[in-house]
Amino acid sequence: MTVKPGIPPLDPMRVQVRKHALLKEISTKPSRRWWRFAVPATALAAAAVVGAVLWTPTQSAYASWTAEPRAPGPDTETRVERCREQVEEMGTRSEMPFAPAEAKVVDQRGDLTLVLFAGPQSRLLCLATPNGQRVTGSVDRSGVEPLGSAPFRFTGVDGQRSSDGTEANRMMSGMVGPQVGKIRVDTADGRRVTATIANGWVVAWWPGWADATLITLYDHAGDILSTERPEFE
Amino acid sequence: MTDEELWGQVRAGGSEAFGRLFERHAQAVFAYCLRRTGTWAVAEDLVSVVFMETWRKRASVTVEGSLLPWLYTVALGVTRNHHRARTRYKTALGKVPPHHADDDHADDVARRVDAETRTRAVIAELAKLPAGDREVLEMSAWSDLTQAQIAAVLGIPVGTVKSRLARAQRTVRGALVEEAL
Repeated sequence: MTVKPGIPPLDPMRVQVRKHALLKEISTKPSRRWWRFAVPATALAAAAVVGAVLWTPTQSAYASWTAEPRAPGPDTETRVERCREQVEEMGTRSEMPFAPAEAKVVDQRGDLTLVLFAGPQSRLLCLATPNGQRVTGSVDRSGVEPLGSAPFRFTGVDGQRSSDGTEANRMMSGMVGPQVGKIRVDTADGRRVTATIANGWVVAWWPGWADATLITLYDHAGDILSTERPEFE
Repeated sequence: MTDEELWGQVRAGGSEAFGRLFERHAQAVFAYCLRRTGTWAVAEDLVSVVFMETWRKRASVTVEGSLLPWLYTVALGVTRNHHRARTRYKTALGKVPPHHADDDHADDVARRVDAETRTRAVIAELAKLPAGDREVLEMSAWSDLTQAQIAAVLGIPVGTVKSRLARAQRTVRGALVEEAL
């Protein structure tokens, strides 16, 4: 392992998007609290540049989200299959060891379905909404270490954001032992989210860009087993 | 046009010159932030934070040669507590048209997750070092700065840079491979 891991170049378009946003912000600076002030007309040009290439979502995509998951509904299996197709396509098109992409957890909140696919070297999350599905996750070439006797191991928080910033989500995942009956995630913006546990894995997600600040593990009697603080966002 | 010349325009309020400096150095700042945090989206946000902080402090900063040493100084600060840095600029960052997963090809996604995986593995190894030693080693391995510049960035004497670097190299040698080690 090298101390200087290779970093792929930023997409030139993303650099331009960031630059225009930066210039827009600094052009509005009337005081030290400049970012709270209104955007001037110069912002319109920048918005036009990026608006042509980035998707603009509907603001109501996450409207049905609930802090407590519910049982899968009649549309759930269709969404799981769409996610599986997308994950398999990713594995086919790249050299990354995505496969096998076995659906370990299906988390249903309102009409929103989050599926965790886990393989020997991968952990992929697919969030399916009425507007489509998106995949994120991570790969570990050295393989996913078994949980052993530990009650829980946090594997990461992923996030997705839409082009206009109105639609964002964070997704927490981890491995969980049989002694754990329930997991609750507290977020930086005050949400308290009950996770979905299945097949030795756990997932939870919430709208917005707030970090997970505390993960509380309960046993099957409802007593607290332990608490964890996420290391990564 | 050199960094010094562009920075002279920036200090006079030239946002276009600042934009050129951003284009010139965004990748280097991004690479440093990603290697420090292990999360692509966070590193992208921190690039914006670094440049917003740089703009805010432009009146008090003098550039000799490259702007990079100062950018690394700011990047070091914001990555030490990136939760706080991103919270401070939350509203501004919220206005940045974000990345959307549907815009990506699978290969691009794979490249990103692979980079995150590799950087997190290195972060885990470097976490075994004391913070002071780790920051010297990171700056030495990940930037093209001289030891004198690293000393200025970290606010420590050059002799301390040398001693910390030697100690850190001894500790991680074997686990991490790098010509600089």
